[in-house]
Amino acid sequence: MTVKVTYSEPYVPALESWGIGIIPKHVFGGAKGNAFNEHPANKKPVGTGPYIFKEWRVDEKIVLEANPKYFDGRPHIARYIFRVIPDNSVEFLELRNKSIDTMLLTPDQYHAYEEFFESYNRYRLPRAVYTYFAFNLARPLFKDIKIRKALAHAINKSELVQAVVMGLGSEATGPFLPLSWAYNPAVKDFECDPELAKSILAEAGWLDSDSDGVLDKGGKPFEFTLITNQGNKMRSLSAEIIQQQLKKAGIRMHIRIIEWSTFIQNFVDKKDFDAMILGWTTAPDPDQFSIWHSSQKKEGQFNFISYENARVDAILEEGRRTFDLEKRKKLYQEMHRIVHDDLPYIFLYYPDYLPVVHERFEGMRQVPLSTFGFGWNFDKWYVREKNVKYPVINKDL
Amino acid sequence: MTPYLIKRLFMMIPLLLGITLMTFFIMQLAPGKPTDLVTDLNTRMSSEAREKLVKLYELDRPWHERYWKWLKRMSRLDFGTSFRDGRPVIKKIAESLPATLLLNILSLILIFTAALAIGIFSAVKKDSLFDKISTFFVYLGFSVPTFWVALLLMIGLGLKLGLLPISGLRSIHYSDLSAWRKFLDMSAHLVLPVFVMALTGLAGLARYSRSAMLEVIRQDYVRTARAKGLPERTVILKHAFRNALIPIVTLLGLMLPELIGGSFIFETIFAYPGMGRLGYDAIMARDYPMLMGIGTIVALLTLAGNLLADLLYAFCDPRIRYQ
Repeated sequence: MTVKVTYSEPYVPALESWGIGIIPKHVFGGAKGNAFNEHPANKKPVGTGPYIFKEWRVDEKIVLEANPKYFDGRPHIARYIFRVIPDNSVEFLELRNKSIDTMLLTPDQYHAYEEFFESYNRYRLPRAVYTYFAFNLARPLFKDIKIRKALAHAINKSELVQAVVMGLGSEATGPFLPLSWAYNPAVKDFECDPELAKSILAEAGWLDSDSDGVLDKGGKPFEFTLITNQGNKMRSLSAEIIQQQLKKAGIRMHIRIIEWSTFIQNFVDKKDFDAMILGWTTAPDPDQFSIWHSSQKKEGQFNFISYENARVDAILEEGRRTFDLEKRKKLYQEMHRIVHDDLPYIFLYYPDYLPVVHERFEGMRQVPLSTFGFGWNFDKWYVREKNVKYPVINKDL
Repeated sequence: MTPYLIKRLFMMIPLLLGITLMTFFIMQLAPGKPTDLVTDLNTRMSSEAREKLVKLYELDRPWHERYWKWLKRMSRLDFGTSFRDGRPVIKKIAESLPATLLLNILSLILIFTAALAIGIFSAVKKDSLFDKISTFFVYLGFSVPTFWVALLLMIGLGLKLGLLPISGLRSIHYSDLSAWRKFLDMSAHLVLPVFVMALTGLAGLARYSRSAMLEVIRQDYVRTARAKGLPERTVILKHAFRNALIPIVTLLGLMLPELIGGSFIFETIFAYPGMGRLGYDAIMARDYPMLMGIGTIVALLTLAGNLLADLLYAFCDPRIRYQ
């Protein structure tokens, strides 16, 4: 069967945006709107993938079984049970108890005592995520690029990588990840130099005239509030470290940690913040129109920092129309450099993806393709007969 | 008695209405809405698509209008469907309730037996070594953070000694087991949660029963019973204990809402599929129909529990009669 979709203008990320599960007509019977949302088949998905949905016990587990009719042959692993363990430290205890086969580790768990991992293989892979420090460019304090540059020089990214992700990540230079072809390896980052930061600020008139350790100008101290969301340890830890680093440059930064919904609704969407720490998950296609284009500044849109650059606008427009990969690469690498130099964000770090898998599993192949780079060939994973831990009793599998 | 009961039951209607109205109103005060879970910071979601979603769930209507609609549906005992996955609210509650009931009833039984035993012994042997030691441990259990005790027991009994499973309610291969093995499997999974839960609930009740017993033991009829020459055992268990039970029994009624509310902390730590997590997830997702469903049922049970406590009181204590 062929599906044909016609667009009124060229749109390169089109194919990627079509990533949607099959909605079988014979199951849903053409249900629309709320009737579709409430259709019981949503809880019993039917598709064409390597596994067949078997059972879902809410808050407990989801059971999948190998699809014998899968186009690429029946997967080797007969049953996949996805257990729900809400608490991360309990999940880790279950791993140490060998009652689960795989999980995602936090950086400190990755570095835990070696004996925990005697029968497990740890992996360290790139992850399609970056954490950033965003300036609200509509605020007078951050309108001047010199001020932003001073802050960029005052922040020590390698300290952040060491302390926050315990070295399991790398310093970020722009909105594209090192594993993407859009990444520009030639971009040189601002070097960490608190003294340089101070002298830039002094040029702009910020001096510590009352010698209280905080710079001031016209009787007003250099201070602002950084916000981030509750429940993300890495972000709050980053905020605290940056607070200390900026203090050395004579900048007083306050931290406010806010519950997610309130954070988005009352602060991000309303653009009511000085600066914030947040992260973006990136798709394999580098189109980031909705984040950087100057037309995307309305309430609730994603250019919430009010970034505006005519060249970046032009690149974003051209980039999603250009099918030639070489041409696109040039465009996005140029954008990487501009966005780095313009400093709407200080790009902090790319955290690594840290899965752990029981050693009896073989056949995994890693590809540098976003977060799906691991486990993408799960249907080809296998366990040697002598190592089988859970023999499948059900004969028809 | 019957007119009193009818009066009380009728009084529950305005109370219940008031509670649901407050719940609905307070829910709207919290920033955010149910659709945020899909739309927040989703760069693939246009503002038109967001508005469509808001319309679909009628979130653009004023809150009193939506409350009225909810009330009309409730009058037909229709709890509506969850915004999160479109499944009927009542069905989701029915799925989570049995596990919560099981855990809470077991731990309540444990709490009551242990608390009464400790309470009576410490009262009878007041200021003895047993009294002091039990008081110390009961308070210790009450004061230490539950999640910490839970993790320590998981590491000790689960990981190091391998005696008990660490978390969950069933093993992975549960469906392949025989009925007897299934029973054993579930029992083993329940030991730690029931024990840890009882540990924290024990303190209050043990102190209650101790003071109730102390008061009864000083009464004249206990002295009379002793004077009659009854053995000490009969005096304590038959004459004193029964009367000391009166205030304790009424506490049972007040525990009814706790029985089904579930506990978010316990269920999260033990990866236990119950009402506490259902409620918490509904709050975080701003799943209004789900929240209203849980809220209404818990409110109803609280009111019923209060009524039950009053009735039990009259039943146990002949001095109290309702007109």
